[in-house]
Amino acid sequence: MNAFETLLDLEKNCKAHAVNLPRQIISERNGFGISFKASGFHFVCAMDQVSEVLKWPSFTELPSSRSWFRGAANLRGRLLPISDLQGFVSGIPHQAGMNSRVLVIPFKSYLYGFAVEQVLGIEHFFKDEKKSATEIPDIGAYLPYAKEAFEHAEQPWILFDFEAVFANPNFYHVLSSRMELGH
Amino acid sequence: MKPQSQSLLLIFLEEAKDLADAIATLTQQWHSDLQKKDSLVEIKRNLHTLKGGSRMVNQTELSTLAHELESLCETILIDENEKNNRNYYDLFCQGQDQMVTIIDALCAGPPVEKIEKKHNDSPNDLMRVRADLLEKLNELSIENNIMRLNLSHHVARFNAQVLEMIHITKSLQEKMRLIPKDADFRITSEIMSLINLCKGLTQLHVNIEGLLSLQSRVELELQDRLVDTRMIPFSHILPRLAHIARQVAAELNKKIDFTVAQAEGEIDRNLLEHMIPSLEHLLRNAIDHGIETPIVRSQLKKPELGKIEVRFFRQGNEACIAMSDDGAGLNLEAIRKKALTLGLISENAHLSEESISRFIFEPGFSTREVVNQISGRGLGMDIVNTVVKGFGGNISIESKKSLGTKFTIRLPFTTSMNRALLVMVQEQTYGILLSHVERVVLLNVKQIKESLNQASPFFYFENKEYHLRYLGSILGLREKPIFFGQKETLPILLFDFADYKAALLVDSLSGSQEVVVQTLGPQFKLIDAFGGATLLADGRVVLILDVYSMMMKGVNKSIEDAPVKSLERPVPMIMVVDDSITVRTVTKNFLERYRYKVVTAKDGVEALEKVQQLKPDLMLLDLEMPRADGFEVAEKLRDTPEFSKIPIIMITFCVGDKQRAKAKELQIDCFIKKPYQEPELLDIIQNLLEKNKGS
Repeated sequence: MNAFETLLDLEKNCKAHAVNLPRQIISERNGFGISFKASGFHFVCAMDQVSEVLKWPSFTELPSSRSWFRGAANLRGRLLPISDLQGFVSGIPHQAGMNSRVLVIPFKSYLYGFAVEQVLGIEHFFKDEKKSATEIPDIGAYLPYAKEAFEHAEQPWILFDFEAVFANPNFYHVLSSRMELGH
Repeated sequence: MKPQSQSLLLIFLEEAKDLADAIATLTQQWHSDLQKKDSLVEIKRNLHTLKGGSRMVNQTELSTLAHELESLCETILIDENEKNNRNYYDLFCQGQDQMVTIIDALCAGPPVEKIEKKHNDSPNDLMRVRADLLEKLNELSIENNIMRLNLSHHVARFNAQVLEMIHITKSLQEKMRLIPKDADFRITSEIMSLINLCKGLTQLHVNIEGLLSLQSRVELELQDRLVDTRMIPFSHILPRLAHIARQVAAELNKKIDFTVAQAEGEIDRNLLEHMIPSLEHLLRNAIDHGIETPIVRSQLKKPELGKIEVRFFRQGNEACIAMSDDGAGLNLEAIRKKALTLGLISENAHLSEESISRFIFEPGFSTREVVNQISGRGLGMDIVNTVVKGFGGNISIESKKSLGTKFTIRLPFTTSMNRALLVMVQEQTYGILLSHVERVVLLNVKQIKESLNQASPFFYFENKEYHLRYLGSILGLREKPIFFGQKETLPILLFDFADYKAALLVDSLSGSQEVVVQTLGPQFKLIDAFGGATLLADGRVVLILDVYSMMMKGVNKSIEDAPVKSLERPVPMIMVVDDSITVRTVTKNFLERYRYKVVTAKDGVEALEKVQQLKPDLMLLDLEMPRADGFEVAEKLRDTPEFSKIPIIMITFCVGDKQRAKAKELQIDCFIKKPYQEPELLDIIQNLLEKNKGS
């Protein structure tokens, strides 16, 4: 045989012995997003809501601000106000740990930073994993921000809606009542 | 319309606007002395030109009107009966108003700006440039500025690093001398190389700074020129205001005399355009609420014509617009009542007249029972305030019952670049725009203590009385400043706002620098006190304080001090003592992230002073420090019964046996080697604080 025929033969052999790809259960994907933890819950939020994830930057505190408002940081020359997500929603401030991160969320041409307990990565969800947010035990204060919920990898997951935060008028009252110098 | 006639119309409209403006100015001139009719000759000439031009573009309505007005001018010029002058003036103005209305209606399409060469080389040396193009150029220039600032920030940081490098290298050199002579000479020569490198870097830095400084000069000039292209004289707005004044007065049956006392100077066209609605609103208010009806006025023996006066002038770095009327003045009683109803003040609140009058800037505040089309909708004044603040300016009120009211709007001249004074209060830096500061004085501590002990502290300087307040107290941080043993004086910043004079006491001054004020975003829209934030050379975010709002609102709210409900435990305070600024900053940032309150000291002596006043819960001590090292500090602390139990963590480079023994002797709780591991240090701090809480 010449070289070419040898190659053809080789190819025939390979194909004969190839293991087929396992048949995928193509369940409809419901989407994916950035997953993070806060108040012990597992959250995910849409990819297009988050522009970046930061390690805790140094920030300047605002005197007499509410406990959930941590301060303003310098993000490559732009101001980034940082709020404690857990503190804002549940009223219980988040104790910063080594894994704490800040999610940078752009909204209407401004940037907002939200500190969370931990950022896990990117998570994918399937339509058949959907469930009702009210089914999640102790969801409490997070319910208004829960767009959807999933049961995935034996964990309840909540799809967090940042738009609900921006729609909440309390988000814009950063000074404590004693010092409300504008209103 | 054919394209050719369209462009012809545009050219005509440019000319028409100029003519209308000229006529308006001349009319004002005539108004100042109705007997002198010289201006009328000029007016007639302008009207004639206008008539000709409008006929060319087939604008018959306009040409007919111009013709009628021309005839009127002739009649006025001939008539020698002085008694008719006033009526002629009114009649003429009506016609002029109509003319302006027609021209305005014809002007549609994108506005075109002219760049006029100053100092009139030749009046025809003009160019038409699209307004949005100029806007873009200005934006680019500002961006350029920001980038240059960023660059210079980095250069400053670079220099700081180099300085530290030199410091360490010198210290290394010192240590080398202690090693026996037969040590490796290669080390010595490497140290020498290091030193040479440092010298090289220092030289590079000097060069870069020089280049940046040159660039900054070019940049500033570019900005200035660009700003110039957008300047228009204040007087441009007068015809419009006069027009509105007449309209409103007619609608309300009020007799007014609108005068312009002063209109010198120029202002950014953009700024003026945005201010027009606000000025209109103030004018309407003055005519509607301020000036009384003719009957009332004659009862009060006031002149028949209500006087409304507008002044434009420049004061330092600011453009000022003052509008005053000789009407009834603000009804302070009604305002007070309304504020009470709205729950903004408490029943027995003691407020100055100035503070009460400022309530009209609250949204939804109108003391008029009947809301009419002109004003009284209660929506206007707060928007005026917001607009003015949006430009970084302020608005002040002076009002006297039955004598009248005066509003003064102050706007910064240049919109974005400014010089800010950096002040320190409670270890935090804040910025205050220099253009607002009248003067800085140093006052000795004894006098400060005496003044602050009074119920309503005042500071007197050059025959003026200033309200004295400590910035820390306004910000809710601390009632009175900490008086350190060594310091003899503290800085006081003086502010002269027309209706309020303030003296602001701070802990120390931290220099000044050019800043680009960035807005803090919608979360801060409701807060008057912070006018934005800026970035320092080292990248830190510094809040810019709007002193005027802070002092005024602070005064308003001093009664409404509901105790703050705190869900958290009190925050532990840690003192970090280290002679290296890098170490202090890094440690402070890291600890603040974990919600500890941090204070710093740069050597042992400062540490001991601060401990007395601040009483920290834990100390992080460096060992090697000038003036008093870590051991000395620890010894002094242990000797003082009040502080003998403070947990001390010593962080240092050398952890030899001798040091450890001494540490144990002084009951230093923990001895860590630099560089420390963050989680490890955090754990130790937490444990020590827990343990101490128990004791």
